[in-house]
Amino acid sequence: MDEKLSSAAVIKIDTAAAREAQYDLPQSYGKTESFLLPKDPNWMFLFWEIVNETFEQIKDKKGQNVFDNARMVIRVYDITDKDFDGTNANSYFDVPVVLDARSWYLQVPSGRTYICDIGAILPNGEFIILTRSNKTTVPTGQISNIIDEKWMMVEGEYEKILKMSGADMFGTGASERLQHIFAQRWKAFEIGRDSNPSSHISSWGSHTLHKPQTDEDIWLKAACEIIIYGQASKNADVYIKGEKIDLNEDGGFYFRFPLNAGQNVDMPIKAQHKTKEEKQRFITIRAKREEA
Amino acid sequence: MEQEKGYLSLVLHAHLPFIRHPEYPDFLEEDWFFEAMVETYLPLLNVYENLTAQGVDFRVTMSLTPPLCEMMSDELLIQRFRHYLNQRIELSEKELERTKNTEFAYVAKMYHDKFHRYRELFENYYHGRILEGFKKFQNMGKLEIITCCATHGYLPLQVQDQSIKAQIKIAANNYRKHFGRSPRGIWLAECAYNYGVDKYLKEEGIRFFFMESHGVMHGVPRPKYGIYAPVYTPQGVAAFARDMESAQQVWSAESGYPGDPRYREFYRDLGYDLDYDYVKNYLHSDGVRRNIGMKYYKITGKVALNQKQPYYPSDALDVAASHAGNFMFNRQKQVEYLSSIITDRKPLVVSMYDAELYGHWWYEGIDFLEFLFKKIYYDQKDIKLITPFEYLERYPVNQVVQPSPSSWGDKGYNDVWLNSGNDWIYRHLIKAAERMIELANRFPNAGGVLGRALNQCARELVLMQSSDWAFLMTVGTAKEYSTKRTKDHVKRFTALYEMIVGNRIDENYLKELEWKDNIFQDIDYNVYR
Repeated sequence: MDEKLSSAAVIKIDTAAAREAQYDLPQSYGKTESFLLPKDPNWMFLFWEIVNETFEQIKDKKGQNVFDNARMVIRVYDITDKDFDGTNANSYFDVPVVLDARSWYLQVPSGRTYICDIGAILPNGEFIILTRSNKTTVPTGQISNIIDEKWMMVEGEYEKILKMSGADMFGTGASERLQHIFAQRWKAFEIGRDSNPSSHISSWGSHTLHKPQTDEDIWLKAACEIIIYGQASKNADVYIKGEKIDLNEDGGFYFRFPLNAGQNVDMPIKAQHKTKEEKQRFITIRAKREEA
Repeated sequence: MEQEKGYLSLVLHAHLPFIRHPEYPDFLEEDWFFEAMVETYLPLLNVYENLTAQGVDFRVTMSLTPPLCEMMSDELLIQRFRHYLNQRIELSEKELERTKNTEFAYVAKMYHDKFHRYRELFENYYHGRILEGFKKFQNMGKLEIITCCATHGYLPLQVQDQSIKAQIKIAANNYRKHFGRSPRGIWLAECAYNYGVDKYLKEEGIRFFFMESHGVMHGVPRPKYGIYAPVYTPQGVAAFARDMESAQQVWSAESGYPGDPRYREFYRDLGYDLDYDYVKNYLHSDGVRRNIGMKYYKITGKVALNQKQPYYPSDALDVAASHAGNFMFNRQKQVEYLSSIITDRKPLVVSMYDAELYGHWWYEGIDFLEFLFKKIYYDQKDIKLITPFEYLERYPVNQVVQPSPSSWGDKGYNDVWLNSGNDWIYRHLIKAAERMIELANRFPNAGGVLGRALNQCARELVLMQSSDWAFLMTVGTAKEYSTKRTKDHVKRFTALYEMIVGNRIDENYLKELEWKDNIFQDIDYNVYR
C-alpha cells in the first residue's frame, strides 16, 4: 500500500509497515468452507473457498473422472423450523455456479431459514457435496398477521397506528438523507487530497441510494445489479471498458456492479494476447435502465 | 396528577471510528474527532451546563460508543486536540482585529467567544477529560449514557456467536471502566438487529436497545401500539423503535430545518478564503488548503459559493428558535392524536439522530436543541421528556414481540454494509473471527508475551469489524482510507496468528502494534472462548 493516506506526514517505514508491505491480503486460507450472510428479505450472500484436496479426496473415492461431466451448483435448502440433517429440508433449489466466482448472491423467498451446499451433480443425478454453509434466516419484510389476543386493538384504530408508525415508508431509505449528509461530510475532508479513482471495475458507478417517488399512495422501486463473469486464456490480458482487470490464476474473472437510474451500460470486454497485441477477442455487454 | 399526554425520548448517537495514528506527527483523518469535539461534543455539554445553571430540567439519551470513549480519554489525542483548539483560538483572536468594522465582525466574535468557552469547559470544568462532563450529567439523572457494540461492529453480518457476544461484552466492560457502572442500554451499531442478539444483551444486564421502525412493526406478533411503546424481545430486553415523523421533519431534503438560507453554509470555509500566508499556519503541515471549521457565510439560497452572503449569528439563532418551536408544536399534535387512539397508556415518541449531525453538519442544531429543551420545559404541558429507562420504570409491563432483523441503513436491511463494493471484506473478517476463537480455545488463560499477543489479536479483530469501513466504501468517500484500515487490521491479525501458531512471536512487532492499535487496554481475549 502506498502511504499517501497521511498526506501531511513524512513517510516513516517502520517494521510493521515493512512487514505488512510484504504481502497483500491472503487470497485463500487453505481450508474448504463456505459462509452464508443475509442481505435483505429476498437476498443472501454466499462465499466459499474450496481447496484442491477436497476434489482429490472425492476423486480418490469416486474415480479420477468423477467431475468430468458434472454440473457445479449451489443447492439452497429451505430448512425453516427444521433441525436439518441433510435430508429433511422443506424444499431446495439449485443455482448453477462457476466455482471461481468464489461468491454469489442468491435470491430467495422472504421469511425463511436457509442453508447452502456447494457441490457437483453427476450425470447419474448423484449430488456430491464439497462444502456446507452455516444457516441464516431472512426477515419477512412484512407486518405480521399474527395477533396476540391479550394485546389487541380495534381494527380501524390499528390502521391509524400503522399509518402513524410510517408503515408506508418502511424500507424506502429512511436514513438516505443521513447517508447523503455523511457522504458529503467526508467529502469535505477529501478536497485537496490526491485521490486516485479506484481502478477496480466493481466500483464503477457508486450505488445511488435513491428514494422511490412517494407520490401519494403509489410507489415503485426496482434495483438491478449486473454480473459479468468469464474466463480467458492464460496468455491474454483482459480489459473491460478499456481498463485492465486482474484475472484469477486460471484466467477467470467475475464482477458485479449496480445499474443506476437513467444509466446505459455499454461494456466492451477485450482479451488481448500478452505479446502478440494484434491477437484479440471481443465481447460486448449492453444494458439500459429507463424510468418514466 | 400529571398532565402530560405523552412522552418524548430524544436519543443522540455519538460515534466516530477509532482513528489515532501515533506513527505520524500530523494525520488528516484525526480531524474528524477534533471537529466533532469543537462542533458537537463540547457544544452539547455547554447546552447541558446552561440548562442546569438556569434550572431547566431536561432528559436526553446519548450513546457514547466505546471507540469514542477510548479516543476521548487517550493522552495523545487529548494533546493533539489541545493544539487544534489553541490554534483556532489564536486565529479567532487575529480575526477580531481583521474583521473590525466589517460585516464579518459578528461572526468572528461568535467563533472567538465559542472557542474560548469550549476551552474553558474542556480545561477548567473537565480538566481535559470530556467524559467527566458527560458523567456529571448522567449522575444528575438528566443524561442516560448508553453503550454500543465494541467497535460499532455490524452484528447481522457476523457468523460466529462468540464474535457477536464479544462485541457486546467488550463494550459493556469498557462502559464500566469509563462510567463506573454497568450500561442499562445499548445502541446496536446502525440499529442492526438479528435474531438472538438480545440473548447477549441480557447476559450483560442490558435492559433496552433501539431499532428502526420496521424492526418492531414487522415483529411477531403484531405490536399493539406500533412504534409508540417499546416491546420486550423473547429474552425480556426492551426494544424502542424510531419515530419516522420526527426524523423526517428534521432531515427531509425538501422541508428539513438545516437548509434554511439564514443558517451557516458548510462549504464556504476560511481555509480557502483567507490569504494563504495568513492562514497557512492553521492548515495541515503539507500546506494544502482545506476546511478549518470557521465559516463566515450563510446558505443564502441556491447560489454559487462565491455568491453567498455574510452570516449573522443572531439571525440564525432566531431561526433555530422558531424551528424548535415548530418541532415542539408538531410533537404536541402528534402526541395529542396518538393519545386519542392509544387510550390505556401514554404514547412515547422516540426521536433518534446521529449526534454529529447537530453542530457539525447543521451548525445551529445545537442551539435548536437548547431552545427545544427550554420550550418543552417552560411553554407547554402536553409532552414530557423521558429516558427509556424511566419509561420502563413507569410501564414495566410491555408486549412480548420477536422483532424483525433490520437496520436504519438505506433500504432497511444489510445492503449498505453488504454489496458489490464491500462484500470482499467478509471473507477476511469471518476468517479472523474463526481463528480468534480457535486461538482462545487452544491457549486459554495465557499470560506473558503469548497472552499479550492474543489480546492484540482480539484488538485487531474488533478494529477490522468496525462497520464504518464498509459504510465508507459504499458511500464512496474516504474509500482509500477505509480500505487500508480494513486490510491493515486483517494483515496485523494474520501476522500475529501465524506467529502464535508457529510459536515464534516477534515481540518488537507485537509492541509496535500495541502502540499503534491501543484501543481497549483491558481487553481479555478469553471472551472468545
